[in-house]
Amino acid sequence: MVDLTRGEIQKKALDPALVRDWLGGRGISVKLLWDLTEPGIDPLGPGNPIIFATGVFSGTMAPSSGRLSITCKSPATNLYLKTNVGSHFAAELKLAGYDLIVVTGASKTPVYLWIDDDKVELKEASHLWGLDTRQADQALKRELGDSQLKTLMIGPAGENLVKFAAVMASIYRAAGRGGAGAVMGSKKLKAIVVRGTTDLKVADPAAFKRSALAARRAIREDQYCWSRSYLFGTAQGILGANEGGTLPHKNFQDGFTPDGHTLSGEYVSDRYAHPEGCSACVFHCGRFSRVKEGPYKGSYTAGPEYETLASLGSKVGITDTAVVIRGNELCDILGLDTISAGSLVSMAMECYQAGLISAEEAGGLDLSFGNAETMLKLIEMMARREGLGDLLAEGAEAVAQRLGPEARMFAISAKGLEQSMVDVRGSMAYALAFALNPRGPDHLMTECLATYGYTPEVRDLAIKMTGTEEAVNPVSPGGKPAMVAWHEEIYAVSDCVGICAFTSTWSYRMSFDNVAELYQDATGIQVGPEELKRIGEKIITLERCFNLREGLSAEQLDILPPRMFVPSKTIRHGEVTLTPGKLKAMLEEYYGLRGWDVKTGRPTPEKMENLGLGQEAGALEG
Amino acid sequence: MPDRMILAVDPGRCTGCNSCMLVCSFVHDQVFNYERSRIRVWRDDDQGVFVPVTCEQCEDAPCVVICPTGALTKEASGLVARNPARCIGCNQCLSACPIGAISRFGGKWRKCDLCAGLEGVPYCAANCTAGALRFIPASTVAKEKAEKTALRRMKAAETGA
Repeated sequence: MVDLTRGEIQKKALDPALVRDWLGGRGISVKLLWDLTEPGIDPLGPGNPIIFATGVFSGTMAPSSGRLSITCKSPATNLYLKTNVGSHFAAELKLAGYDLIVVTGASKTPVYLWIDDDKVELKEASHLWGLDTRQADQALKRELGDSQLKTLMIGPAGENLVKFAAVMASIYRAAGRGGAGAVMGSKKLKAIVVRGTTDLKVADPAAFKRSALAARRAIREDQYCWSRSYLFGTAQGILGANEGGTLPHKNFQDGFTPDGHTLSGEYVSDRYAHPEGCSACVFHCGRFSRVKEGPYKGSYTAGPEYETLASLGSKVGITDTAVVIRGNELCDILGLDTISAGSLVSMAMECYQAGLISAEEAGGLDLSFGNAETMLKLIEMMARREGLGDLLAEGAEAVAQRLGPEARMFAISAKGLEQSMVDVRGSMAYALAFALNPRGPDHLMTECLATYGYTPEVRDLAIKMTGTEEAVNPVSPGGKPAMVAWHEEIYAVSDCVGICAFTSTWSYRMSFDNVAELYQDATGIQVGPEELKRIGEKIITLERCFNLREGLSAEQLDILPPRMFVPSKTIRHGEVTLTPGKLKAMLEEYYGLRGWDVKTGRPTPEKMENLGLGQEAGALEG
Repeated sequence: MPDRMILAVDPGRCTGCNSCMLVCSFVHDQVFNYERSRIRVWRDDDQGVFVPVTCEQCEDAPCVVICPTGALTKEASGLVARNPARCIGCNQCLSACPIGAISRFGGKWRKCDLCAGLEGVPYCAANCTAGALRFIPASTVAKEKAEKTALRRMKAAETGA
């Protein structure tokens, strides 16, 4: 527990009841956030806690177990935020002997938190304030005398309270969405640095050895996912999305980019990138890229990921990967979410095209689609809140409010969060998942890849979990509510134990069954797979209740950006695939599956009681 | 000299996932702790470079030469073996090793023992899915490199580069 207002640090043993009821990681975090906040608090004020949670398996050899969950109220949406990042921070924190860090209050002057096993202290950070993440990482390692430290920090964007400022792990890995970086910035918390050299024990070493090594082997044996992941990274999906007409192009005007193959994983890995892996990973989907020639020679960064290749590439009309790498580098060192950053750039470009931004307001920039120098300049302007960047830094919907009603269509954003790079008009599972996601329209709470049925096993799983073959027809709503519900639960459980969603979705080799086994072997606590699923549902429900407690209705919450109801020419020729009616029907089926009131979309008091949320139900109704 | 099986390290393929360190620590000491691992991955996060460092089982091992009690010996298999019963803790091996592959932690000295792990392959190599650690015949290393070089030159000759 770190109280930045008082400058006090307190170590507490983790309450066994919290573990029993909420599993770990994201589960414990949502419960703490619920208890520590009141509706209506200012996300950038001292009343907003920010909780950094390791997964239960972090720091062990359980496959791909290095994920860190960061939970707080979002300054972008004023709603629930869980954002997540890989790298090695969670593992190192666990090896230092800690499961969670709960930061409350705000410091008057810049500080950083230094965790060296049992020694935990707040240190002066005024000399680091204003540095980019690369500079700050170097400075911290030098001043603390250890080049192998794991750092978690904000860049100038977080310091400037940009609504989509990210929290960066080891310079380049981002907990990107929802503006958690701005929350750290508002607390003047520049960084958390950790070194962990204690022994991390498991309850049953012999059993854990068997189950963990077996899980690693099972994932490696998924030749389809492993090879695509290792060879091409997350960008493995670019080519297929473009060919299928669902790769966002020019601000989601359509989904096909001519000559877009240069944004593909195949091209990027051949020319620029080599693999990287998070803690205990089997896949190594991470990339590290270097530009060795041309005008952007010298640019280097981790990535680019699928999202970034779309957001800073196809969506802004750019197909030169070197530009995407340079844009990625800028976002990383300035501490900006690439998804939102690219969305604001493409919105500005479309607004300019429509005459809603004048050349003067653009400060002399040519805001045409495809202008690389403009995109790179805008990224810096947003991070530093300079000129037009100051407005853009407020997020797409704030920009729309300033520019007038016509601009709302150009904000591919809902609830205050910019949509991630999936054209949901081509995928009903994603459309529903994006609408329901408590933090806003993105894939990182569900990742319903099974809808694409890319291997016989995945196809069978999709049909089994929904009871219909329609599940693997992406443009059909059939089976999608059940699919989304299942994915919400496995994802929540993954975030509790700290495993990467690529093992529990995409590859589907980590299941409720083997996670339950590993959990017991690691902790000695027996939780069956059905119980795990139920806790997943409980987490989803409380996350929704957090938003309902803020005073919003299901009608206001379960929404998509308006453009998603305008047909895309490239998905089906002229055929409308997503309508408000179609979405509503899927939502109502989902509410029914969840046992919620179908009319209001609210969990009923009985349902909440059933899930063990009786106390919270009282607070919600009262 | 017989063609030995060696733990071949290719830093160019290392992704910095640290699976090797976690597995090594656990299979030897039943806990997770990078400090207990007999293989250490050094990372430059900024440059995206990761280098695993472990005992190379030297043919003419300085640690074997310097050890006053014969606790370190070169075995027929190629392993530089450590016998804890003979170790007096003089620390000379720590300095003698030019690589830094012998470490001291918690009052014990440790180095890679080429643990016969999964199907006779050391656990670290068995769990490295990036191909940075492989348990292969020593002659393979040079052969593979030479073949890669040759293919590059053949390609250049074809394209007239």
